[in-house]
Amino acid sequence: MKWDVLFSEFIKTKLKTFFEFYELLKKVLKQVFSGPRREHEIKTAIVKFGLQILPIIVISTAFTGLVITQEIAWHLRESIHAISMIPGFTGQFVLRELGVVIPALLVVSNLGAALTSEIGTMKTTDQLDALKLLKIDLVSFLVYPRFIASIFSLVCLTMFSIFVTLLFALVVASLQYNFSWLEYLNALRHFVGFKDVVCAFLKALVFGAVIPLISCVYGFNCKEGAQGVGTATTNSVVTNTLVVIGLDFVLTYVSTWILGA
Amino acid sequence: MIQVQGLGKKFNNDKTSEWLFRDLTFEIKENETVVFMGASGTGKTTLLKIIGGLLNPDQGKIELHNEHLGMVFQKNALFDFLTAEENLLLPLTECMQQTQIDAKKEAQAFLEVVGLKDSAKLFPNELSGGMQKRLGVARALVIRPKILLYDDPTAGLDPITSKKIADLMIKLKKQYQSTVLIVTNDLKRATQLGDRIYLLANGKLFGGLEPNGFLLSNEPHIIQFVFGLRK
Repeated sequence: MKWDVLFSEFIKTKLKTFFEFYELLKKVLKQVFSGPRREHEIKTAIVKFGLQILPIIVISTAFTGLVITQEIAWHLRESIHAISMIPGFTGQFVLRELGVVIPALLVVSNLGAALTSEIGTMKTTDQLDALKLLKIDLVSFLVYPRFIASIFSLVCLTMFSIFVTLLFALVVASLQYNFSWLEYLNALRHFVGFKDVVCAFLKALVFGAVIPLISCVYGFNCKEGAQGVGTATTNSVVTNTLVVIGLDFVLTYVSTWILGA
Repeated sequence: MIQVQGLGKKFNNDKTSEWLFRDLTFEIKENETVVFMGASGTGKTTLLKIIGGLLNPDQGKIELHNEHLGMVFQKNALFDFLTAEENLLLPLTECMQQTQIDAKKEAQAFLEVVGLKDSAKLFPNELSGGMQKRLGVARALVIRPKILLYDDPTAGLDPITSKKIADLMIKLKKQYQSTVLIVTNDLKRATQLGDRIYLLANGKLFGGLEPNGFLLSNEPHIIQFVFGLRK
């Protein structure tokens, strides 16, 4: 097959996925305002989404805190021969980028993949057909609870991951670079403002909304068989990762422009 | 009850694709049990899914006088994240809008009918093939459908379990007075369960006869299928 044909097929597929994502978003937002609320399913999904991934996020972000302090200290020492700005640089970097993007990417690789394979398997084993025949709305029953749970979980996980990263950054700063805890926190407060917290919150909100929808779109379009489920899951993780990175850039740009954060 | 006129379906949805079957016309009366037989890949399941509204035909139309349908899937399609009892609670609360207390009573009653009362808290993967099939039957019946579709209900079951499922189907049909469509390759079960039997071969329907008439038919396709002869 020629490259131009392959490229046009690729664009067609991506456009189709985008329109399906848009339709799913419309339906889910409609349910947000008109119900049904599905509180039981949302609680179950929050436990699955939030609590399951918590240990992985704690370990990852703790190491991030350890590494980032050492990296920033090295750069500051090399460039301006002073390490007094470690708390400020660390705080800014964690709140604006690492503390938000790392949990989002972990959610993509863990829960996004699980969601696509779950829905894909339901499709290949006729469970989705069984739901349709029972006149149960697939979006209302399968997507909406996961959408709400993902937003709630990712916002909470992001705030928690920022706390853990900064805590471990503080530990390294105090043990290796002789910062007192009070000194570190004062410097942090000087550099990091409420706007940065709002920026982190908004990013988490958007990532939390986008990840389950993309995962569900790929699940619903899953082809037959184990290979079909595998391919759908891989494509879902790749797309979600690229979207999170792309949106991170857009949201950073927008928040800098609007909030001055 | 069910009127099918000029029904056709292609292998794929594109225009160039060949027909899986076409120009199928038949009628099924209320409370009748009709069996569709045919070799693998002739489109029996596709036909059932079109009648169930899960697939769109490429040609023709279907008129259902009652759209309250239930279906027992070939691979059971049980919700694997729910227990046996919850598999019945879901349609009762979502589809029938029953309260949790009423739904629980009804689910337990249905589990008793299909002999799964002691397995209520087990997940589908913890049940045997026959038990899964019975749960599938219970889930389809729990919404009191007027039309019940069975996709190869005895596939992969041993002869004893197969007979048990067939007996259960007869018992439930009498109890709930529903119109039943069955797709199967099992000639013995087809003659036991069906009021009429059709053969789907080469994209066309043959027969539509009572079991004895079907077995004694002179139609070459039916003779070939019944006696396992090759062309």
